[in-house]
Amino acid sequence: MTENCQNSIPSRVTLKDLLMQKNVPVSRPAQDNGQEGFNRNCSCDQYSCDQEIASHRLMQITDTLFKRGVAALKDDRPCCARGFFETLLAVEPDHIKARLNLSVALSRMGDHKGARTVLEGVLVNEPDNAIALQNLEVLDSIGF
Amino acid sequence: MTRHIVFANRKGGCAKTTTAVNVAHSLALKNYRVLLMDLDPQAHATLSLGMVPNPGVPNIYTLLDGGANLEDVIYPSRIANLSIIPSSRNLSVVEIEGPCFSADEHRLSEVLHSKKMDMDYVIMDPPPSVGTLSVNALAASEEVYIPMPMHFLAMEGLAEMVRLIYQINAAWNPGLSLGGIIPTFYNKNTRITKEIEGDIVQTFGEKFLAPPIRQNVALAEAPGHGLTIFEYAPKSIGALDYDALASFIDERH
Repeated sequence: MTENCQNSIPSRVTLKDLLMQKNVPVSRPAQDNGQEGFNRNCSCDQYSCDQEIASHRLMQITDTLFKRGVAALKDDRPCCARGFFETLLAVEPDHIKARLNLSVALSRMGDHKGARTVLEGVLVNEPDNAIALQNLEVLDSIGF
Repeated sequence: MTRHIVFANRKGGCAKTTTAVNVAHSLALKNYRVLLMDLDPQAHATLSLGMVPNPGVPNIYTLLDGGANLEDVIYPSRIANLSIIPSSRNLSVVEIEGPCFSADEHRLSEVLHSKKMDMDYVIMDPPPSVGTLSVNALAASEEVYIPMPMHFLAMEGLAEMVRLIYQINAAWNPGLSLGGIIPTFYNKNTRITKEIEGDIVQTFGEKFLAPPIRQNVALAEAPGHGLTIFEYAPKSIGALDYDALASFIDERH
């Protein structure tokens, strides 16, 4: 009888479940910036800011994201760094430095395959990118 | 350099004001110059310091409405190193008038950052809602700490706060970051406490879990006397816990 009751209790909803329900990226810690807000930033009519201010703010935000990503990498927090760079790339997909650093973060997290994919993507845009070529060589040398 | 900290949670009754007031006093006891900013129309932080909210004197509403300068609304408290910008019930106009009110989301940030402040900490206590006042506080801060009791509905509120931080980051303040989550009304012996603590650590990392504030009746009694926990019951576990929390926040920088 007791066993039946226990079986009827649904499994517990976790914080991760709740964040996912709200479309909050759970792979990133909350101290980074979110893609969701950028959509809001685009609807600047609502906030009576002109295009120039919106553009300037966006530049500030991408700059902040990049600096935070680099700081997280230096601080040996590749998971956080990944979140910053991915968010930045969602707004500015052609940010080469962010893509190079994202590959470093992925590699440090053990996702060498993901790192390779990012680097190969960089070479599509810049076939002679020295850093991408060099890092691919490193991945080759360790068998990825 | 002044640190701008906000204790925020859209859920009421999570010890947000108690935390803001007692952390402010603890930091003042550590010889920091602290400004406590009461952004809640209920004026509970103002009351907790033994002051009577008075709409007739310059206060946070006057500041946000452009009717007073920053220096006009900062009052010394009876506690050394601790000043306050009091609130009063007329602040509720800000939320009611909404877009008609002259204070936009950046108003507080502009006022606070327009001149160098002779403070080590500015601690903000916004209302338990997501409105103009809370957004102003988050847009003007660098760090947000989220006090929350260890139960499921509070965890849902936490998830909502995290979503809000993302929005604030992107729309108004890229410099805002999560400082930590503060377990309040803490009882380490319950299963739900252990589960939620585990969730927080797993999702955000151990360093975002602040020292807990245990359940302590003195914390509930102190505001009724217009006193902080360090004045009312300095040897209570409430005082010990808030001292540990203030040290955690101080060392986070």
